[in-house]
Amino acid sequence: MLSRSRTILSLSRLSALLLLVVLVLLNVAAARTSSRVDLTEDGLYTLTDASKRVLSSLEDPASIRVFWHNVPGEQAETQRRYIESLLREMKAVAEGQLGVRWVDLEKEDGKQEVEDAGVQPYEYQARKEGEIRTTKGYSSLLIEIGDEKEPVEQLLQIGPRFEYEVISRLQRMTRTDDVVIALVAERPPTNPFGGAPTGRFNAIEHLLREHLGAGLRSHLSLDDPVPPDVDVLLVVGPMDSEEQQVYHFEQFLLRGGKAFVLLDPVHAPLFQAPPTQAESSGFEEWLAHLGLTVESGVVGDFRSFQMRPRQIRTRIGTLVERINYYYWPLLRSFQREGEEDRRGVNQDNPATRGFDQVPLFWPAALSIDEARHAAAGREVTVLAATSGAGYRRQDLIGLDHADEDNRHLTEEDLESAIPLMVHVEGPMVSFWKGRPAPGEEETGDEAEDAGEEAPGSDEGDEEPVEEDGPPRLDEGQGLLVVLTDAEIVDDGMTRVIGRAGIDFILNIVDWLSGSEDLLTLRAREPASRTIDKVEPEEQSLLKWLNVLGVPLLVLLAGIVVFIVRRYQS
Amino acid sequence: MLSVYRKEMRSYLVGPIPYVLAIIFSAYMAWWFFFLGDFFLYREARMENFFGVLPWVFIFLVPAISMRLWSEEARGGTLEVLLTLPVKSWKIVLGKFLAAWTLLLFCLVATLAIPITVSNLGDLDWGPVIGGYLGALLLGGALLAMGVWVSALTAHQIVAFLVAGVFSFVLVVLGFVAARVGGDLGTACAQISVASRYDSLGRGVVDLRDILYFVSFMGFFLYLNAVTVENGRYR
Repeated sequence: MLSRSRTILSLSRLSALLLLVVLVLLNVAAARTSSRVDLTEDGLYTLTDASKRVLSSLEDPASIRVFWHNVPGEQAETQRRYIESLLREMKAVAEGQLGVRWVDLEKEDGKQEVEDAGVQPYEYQARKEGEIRTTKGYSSLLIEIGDEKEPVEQLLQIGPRFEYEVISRLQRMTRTDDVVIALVAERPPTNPFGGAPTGRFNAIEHLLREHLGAGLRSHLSLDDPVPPDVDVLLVVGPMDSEEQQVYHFEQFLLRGGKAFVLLDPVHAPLFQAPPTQAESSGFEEWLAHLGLTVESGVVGDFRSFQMRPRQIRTRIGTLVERINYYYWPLLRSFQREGEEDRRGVNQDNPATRGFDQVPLFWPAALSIDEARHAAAGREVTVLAATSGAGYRRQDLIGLDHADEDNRHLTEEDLESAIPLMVHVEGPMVSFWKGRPAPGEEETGDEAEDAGEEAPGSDEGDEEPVEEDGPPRLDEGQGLLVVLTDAEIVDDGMTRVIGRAGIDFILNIVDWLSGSEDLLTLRAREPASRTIDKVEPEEQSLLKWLNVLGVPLLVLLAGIVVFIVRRYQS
Repeated sequence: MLSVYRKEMRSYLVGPIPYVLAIIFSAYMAWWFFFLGDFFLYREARMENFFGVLPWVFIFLVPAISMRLWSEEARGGTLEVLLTLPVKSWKIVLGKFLAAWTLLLFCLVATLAIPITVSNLGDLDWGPVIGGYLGALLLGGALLAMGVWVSALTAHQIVAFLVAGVFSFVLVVLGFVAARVGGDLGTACAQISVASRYDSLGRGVVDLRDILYFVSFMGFFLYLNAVTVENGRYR
């Protein structure tokens, strides 16, 4: 009997071992397949149609080499498997035009390959054999098409942006259109000591260059007419622009150009006292002529919530603290919640669709002269507006105070959907029609007509040719987008708040230039889903309801079962 | 198997254990999420904070459920009776395991008030929540299968609780070791860790490989359990 039980025991151990081996092999075999369901609302971890379009239109064979080795971090394995699955999907969609290879960095060949590829390792401290040692790790990939190479670094940190980073590079490497986008922004002063560039808008310039390559004209000056090959003009944070600059901008529009202006009436740098007066961009009068008035003061949104960093000086140094801040409007996608109105981010426009929680910092209200636009045959669309709890604030004093100081706001102060970003498209009449353009000599006839809208003038009138420039136009068709905040792309703000704002702007630039492939991809960041403002009393109620309510219900159920059982027995 | 399952469920229903566990678990998770996690300070309609702590809570909860399954039978002298019944060992094991898993599901259901509250306050993405609950159920099932096996090895509930707790801790902590150590050891830890599989589900991505991993894990320990019970029949 004893020997039989020993035999059974040995057989059991053997069978358990066998089962373990079979299960491990099964899992190893399954690791080579990819079958998954993405449950996220926006399909964050699934290839978008836009990506599929880019991949299926690859004409030249592309290859991706992944260098993934010694990657530390709690999310490393999860991210590796996500990247692996997505690359597999990409390869399948590209139908033989995309090769993917994971370089084995354990082997000497692999080590040599990573050196030859010029991929930079990153170093981190890790415990090895009881000692803290500096270890090298790799989490990069290299995209190659012909002789062209593009790396994607820090794959661990980019999370679900992985798809965008790969597809945008593939698109750039294969793009054949010659779209030219000109950036009009203050040129950063030369840093005599080298190092990081100074100035406010380096990040947007860097990203545009990365995205467009030679298609970007940075720091274009409006002192001269806009070159005819420019398709889209991006004007960021203009200050006190001269009449001639506005004129050149207008002439570009009338020639059928597309422009995007980011005004910055209130520039409130972080950690500094906010200004007490709004600044002029020089475009206000021209915009008013078009039927868009930039109102004085700033707009806040009581339903918004952002974390505002502030510096605190202590004995041990300066600390940065984040405080709840309910003033800065956070553009939300209300229509996703089924409310079809003009609040938040416009969900009908392909460039803004899908965006949620876009941060703005002290924008101004835009007033739209609907009748004027209708009479001129122009189409006006609000692309972004406050929530139902927006408010206007004329006084700029105390802008940096926290929410508690704003309690005096009443329901009557709140206003729904204050426009902050507007798209205007259609026939436009020159601000200088019937008058000499800035820099032009005033003739007798023109002096008589000055200040009028020149009602009897012929459409498409071509006035005397401007010196060394394109012919002057008094009327034309243009497309203009105006946003009343430029801090959305300010380097200081994006460093602290993140790049949600920059992606929003890049999307509109892409939409204006007609490159729509990446539009849906950029909006796929996991949105920071801010909840509505909850009063402290309601907060306490909800907390205690959850902590005590459900357990009480379970207790009640237990008592009922106990009584019923007792009664039955 | 169904009769064993029914018997176990009946014993759960009449006793205080499931209610006490569900009360403590749901109250603690709500306390963690709303008070310790400062939900109303960060004001984000997300549940990462909730699902992030679940594996650590399972280190205590799951052994508390599994410790009595075999130990109590042995202590109460009903094990011999059970083993002499004309029922195959694997059916008894599976019946007991499924009953314990149902209890774990009951505990998880008791926390559903938290995501419901969050979704009423903001635009909660239910995908990661569903993935997170599925991951929690699978992770709990894996730890439970191991705990039930440990319970079959000893007649003492406390010993079963402690040993299963230590094993669960090691399995959960492997993912964090992988994160800190790096290198080959870290990669190996990450491959076998339950944490990375659970994290992946918590993102809202249901991968067949993760499901297979958890099912294999459960299958292996349930098999070990059946073998242990079968050996007991011949002792």
